[in-house]
Amino acid sequence: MSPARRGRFEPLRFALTELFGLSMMTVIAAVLTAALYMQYDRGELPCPLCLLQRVAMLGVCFGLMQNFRTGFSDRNTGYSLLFSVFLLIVASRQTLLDIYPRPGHEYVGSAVLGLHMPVWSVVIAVALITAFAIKLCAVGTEDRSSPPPRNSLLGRAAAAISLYVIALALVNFGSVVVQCGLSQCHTTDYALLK
Amino acid sequence: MMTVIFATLVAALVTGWFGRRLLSIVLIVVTLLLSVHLFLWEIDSPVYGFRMPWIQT
Repeated sequence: MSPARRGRFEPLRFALTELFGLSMMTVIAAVLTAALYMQYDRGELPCPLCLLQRVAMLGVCFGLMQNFRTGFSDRNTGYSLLFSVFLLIVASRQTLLDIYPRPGHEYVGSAVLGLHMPVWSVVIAVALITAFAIKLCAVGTEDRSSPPPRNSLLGRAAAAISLYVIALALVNFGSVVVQCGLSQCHTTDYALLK
Repeated sequence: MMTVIFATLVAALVTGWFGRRLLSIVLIVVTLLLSVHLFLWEIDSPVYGFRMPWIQT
């Protein structure tokens, strides 16, 4: 492909990259919102490993948010991939902990579409890593390219979703303070509401 | 420990939002290191260590 022809496809590549980051943040924000809904509506307190999985998902969002704030960079993708791998490790270990029925070891919370939350986390982590791989194969890297203008549609959408993710992190932080205090987390009750 | 992890995570996200890139990266790396430490502590059983004998055949 000639450089001139390749140049015509650059805006499309940038738009696809921005849409990819935006979609991924939206999906993770939806998953975290569902987790909070199950916690507060159904009274299912998250276990320590479940909380670490939330940390991992918010960590994935950190890299994606940085792309939209300071410009697209492979380093930001690296942070997101690191937290995706961490999510996969934590979720796999938790799935294996409870995979064989024994006293005191059953999956925390109720099943969604037949799968419990740690199993869903494995699915989400594999989906995230696969999505990053497919994006790199299909669209390539956008290292050092600028973020979308803040007054554009994509720029405003990215800002809105980023702020929503920060709000989710703040709600989770408050929730952890009430549930765990400064000591170990338990799934029986909130430490500060005893 | 979990509270500290979420505090550093929120700080990383907020400082990243306000464009303090170096500080936010330091905070997110600290978050990851603390999370890995807590994860290893959580799965380390006094009886089994890191092993999972219930899935061994």
